[in-house]
Amino acid sequence: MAPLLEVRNLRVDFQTAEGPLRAVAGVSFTVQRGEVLAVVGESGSGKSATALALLGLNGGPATSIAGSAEFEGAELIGAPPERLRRVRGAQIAMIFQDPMSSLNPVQRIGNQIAEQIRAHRSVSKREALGRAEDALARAGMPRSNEQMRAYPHELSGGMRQRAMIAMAFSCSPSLLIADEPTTALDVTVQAQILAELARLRAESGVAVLLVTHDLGVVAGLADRVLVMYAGEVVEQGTVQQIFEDPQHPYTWGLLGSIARIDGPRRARLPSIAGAPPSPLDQPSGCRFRARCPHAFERCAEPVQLQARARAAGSGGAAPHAWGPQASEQLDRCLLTPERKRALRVVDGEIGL
Amino acid sequence: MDARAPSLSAPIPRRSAWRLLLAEPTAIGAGCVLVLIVVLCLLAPVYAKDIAHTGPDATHVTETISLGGHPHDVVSPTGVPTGPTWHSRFLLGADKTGRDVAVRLLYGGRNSLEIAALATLITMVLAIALALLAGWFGGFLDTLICRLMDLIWSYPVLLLGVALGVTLAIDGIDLGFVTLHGGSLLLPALIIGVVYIPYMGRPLRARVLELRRSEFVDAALQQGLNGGRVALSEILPNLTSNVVVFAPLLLANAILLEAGLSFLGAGVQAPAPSWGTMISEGTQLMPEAIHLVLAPGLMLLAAVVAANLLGDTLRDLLDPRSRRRRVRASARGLTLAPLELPPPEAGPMPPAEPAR
Amino acid sequence: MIRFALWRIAATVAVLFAISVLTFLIFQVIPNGDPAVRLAGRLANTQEIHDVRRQWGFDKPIYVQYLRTMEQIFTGKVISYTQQVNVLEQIGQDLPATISLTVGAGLIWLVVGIALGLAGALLAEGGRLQRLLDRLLGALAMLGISMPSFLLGDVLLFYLGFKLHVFPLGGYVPLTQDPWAWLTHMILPWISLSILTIGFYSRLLRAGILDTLSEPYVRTARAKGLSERRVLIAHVLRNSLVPIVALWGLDFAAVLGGGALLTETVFNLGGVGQYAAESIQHLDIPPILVITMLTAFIVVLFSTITDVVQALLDPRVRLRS
Repeated sequence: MAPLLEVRNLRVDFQTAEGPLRAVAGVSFTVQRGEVLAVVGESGSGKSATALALLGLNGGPATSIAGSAEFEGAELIGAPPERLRRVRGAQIAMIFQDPMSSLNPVQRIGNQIAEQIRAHRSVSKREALGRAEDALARAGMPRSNEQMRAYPHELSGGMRQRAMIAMAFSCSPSLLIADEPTTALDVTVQAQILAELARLRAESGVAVLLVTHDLGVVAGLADRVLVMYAGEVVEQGTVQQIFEDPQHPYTWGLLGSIARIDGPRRARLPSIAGAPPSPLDQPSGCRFRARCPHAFERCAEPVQLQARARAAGSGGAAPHAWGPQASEQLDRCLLTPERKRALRVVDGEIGL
Repeated sequence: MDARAPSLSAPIPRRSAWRLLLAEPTAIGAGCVLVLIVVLCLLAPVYAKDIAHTGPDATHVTETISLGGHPHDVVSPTGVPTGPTWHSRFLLGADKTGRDVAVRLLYGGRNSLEIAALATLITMVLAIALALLAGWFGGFLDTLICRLMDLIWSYPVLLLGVALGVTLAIDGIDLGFVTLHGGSLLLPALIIGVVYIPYMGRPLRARVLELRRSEFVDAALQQGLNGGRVALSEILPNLTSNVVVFAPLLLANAILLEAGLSFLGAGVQAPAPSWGTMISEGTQLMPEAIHLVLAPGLMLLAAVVAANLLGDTLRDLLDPRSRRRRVRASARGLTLAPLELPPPEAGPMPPAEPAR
Repeated sequence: MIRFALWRIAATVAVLFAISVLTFLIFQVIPNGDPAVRLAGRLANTQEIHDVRRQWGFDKPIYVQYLRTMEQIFTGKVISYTQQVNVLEQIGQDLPATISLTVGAGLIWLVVGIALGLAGALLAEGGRLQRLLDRLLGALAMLGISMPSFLLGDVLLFYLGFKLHVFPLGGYVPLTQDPWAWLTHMILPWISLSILTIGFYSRLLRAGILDTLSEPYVRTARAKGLSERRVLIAHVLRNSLVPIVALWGLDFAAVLGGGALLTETVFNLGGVGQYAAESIQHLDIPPILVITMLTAFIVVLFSTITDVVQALLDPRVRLRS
């Protein structure tokens, strides 16, 4: 079966005063129907730019988006604005990070949802408001009838994000792009919102492209994971593969920096030393090598995203339902799988 | 903020405001025009003596000049003065009493600019002092100063200026320590300076309040430094960029208000020239001698545009918000590290109450 | 709401009181403001001046004079010194010209200012040629902000009035008497008065729109699949207009209260502003007092109205007392 979304060699460039800046440097991936694909990475890794580029939302005179993104067999990159508009909100919906600034502060919640319904369905204002109220109720908004007339600043952060979720689901999209949906929320609210998302996903069967830096969210929600660093995918695989048999040192670093409640208390939470390279001046070869303690001379060579873990014959992960290509674990590190397995264990845990 | 796409991890190299300013062609152009006008006006005596061979108040009603070999009345028997001759004498024509417009234009410019500069200085000194007092001490003093500024601001500026101007113009004013005579240029300067205090004082006070609550001021106070000294050593220097932005904008507004006052007869008193009084005299001779309006009018416009442009560019450079706006126009969705300068003010610049 | 209304009424009274006292002081305390000298005429001797002083009550303590004048104002019996006419009646006669000027110019500067501001913001987001046009608009706005209204008025009068005879040479014709003549007499004053405000509003709105365009909620609006036009009008323009509304109210009020001294004088409209200008030149205190109080009253009234309108436009704004 053809994938719901197939992205090939996506590139996003910004024209800046300091020169051209490549935020996304040739990213390829697929999203199957009903699947949750998580894109993880530090801020500045290009994960949000990738998500926004699919719908042309980071457009503007100084931004150029190139490559291909086929959604349900139709090309999104370079599509005419009107076609793109009909996809936005109806077939591909988005949830943003900060529900406070992402909702218009001077319009009522109900009107903001109804506005989206009216943009895609020819229904009366009254009918659209009715559907908006249903959507709010489905997203777990208490007293949805009253909250229809509320302004964003009158709601709590969690309630605002529920409104965003209701808005996203209001036109029954087949793909939901969630850009850091819980980052701006309190920890206790995060869990509620995640549970709500998981429930709605199961009910509607929507596919999700989940952009996050929070590996806890990934573990709870995702089927497959894409790890991005400095505008490139450095590793991809199923959740199990990524968490149990990570191949790229950057992934080790991300996993090592998770604080575990159940694990032994460590003196200091490990973090990856250094900062990502400037997008204006990317190094050749592996972009992570300046921060990688295991770097060796071959890391300066250009390196492709390849299946390496299986080459050693260990497999590591059970075969997955999404077919051979999608479930394959790919990475961008030239170390041999044996060497990786030896290097990645730090204090009995995976780390850098 | 990750949703805005990559942020520049390498900050913009620290550059001085001066160098940034010099990289702006508009700022250089505006600055040059302003300097040129000032220099020209300062050279008024030289021009009068060596080129036009007349003074600003010398009348030549009954004289004739030779234009293209033909004799020509400076002022016709019906009272119409000659237009621009484009010769060294009466370069820009004459006025109704046969005075050389070009000479008066330069002398008038000297008066206009002197008043505007003095008024700007007065406003800046008083506004900074009031803002520091109100913002630093707060409480009753703050309320008092704020209400005072509100009062000046809610009073129609032009009405207040004209009212003061007319009453004072006759005999001058005795302030106790200094006596200003009716014709003194200090009078309109003082009036304009006072009228514009709230324009600068209110945003400055807000900035002082903001700084008052900042950590480095707390730190200085906890070191046991004297409050008044902290205000002068920690807060005052941080107002520099705000003051720098206000100076040219105040100058532009002061030139405009001086012209408005003089136009209504409450500014510079005859026979002394100023751009405003010259336009006013020209208006009375309107259909016959438009050059009497155009010459001072265009000069005034050039000076005000130059000062406004300079202020605008400075504000763009020093205000991170408007800087972002400019960058955004070229690259949407990009966060740039803000310039390492304090913001000139919390809110948007209030408009100066215009002389309509 | 009631607290807000009461507080505003109290504030209005306080402002009116402060302004009337200030005006009174400016003319009474300053020595040569002595109205008796002016009333008695240039050639009056000491005895005549003394008589005038007694007759008009200028020999009374200043607070008595103030209270008397205030009483006259509020009973509608205040008489000007120079022409000795009822000031309120005179203002009533001048008001139609001022209202014509204010309403027309106010509409022009609002509509044109918004249009140019929107155009500037859209052009700034466009390609090279569009950005050049935006800079041109910016330069024009700068020229407008820097142009004294009386200079523009003079130039317009000269070229379009004296030279081309397109427009009449000033003066005011009541709307009820001849609508067409009213219009032709008003167009040049409207333009002269509007240019400054248009320049200011258009740049302010442009900056506001550019700021709003980078707000996350505008991206949300696009992600919802709204048409670009709807995004621009319902989300960007609507939210950027809030500060313009507040400014418009105050500018409108200032002109309505007789603040357009220069424009009214240049075009000889015979409005409240011109009356104020003439009264000041004659140091005629009663009209000055009444007009400043009128201006202040209208400004406070309109700032209350714009506060309410702003609270309606932006639910985050609360009416505070």
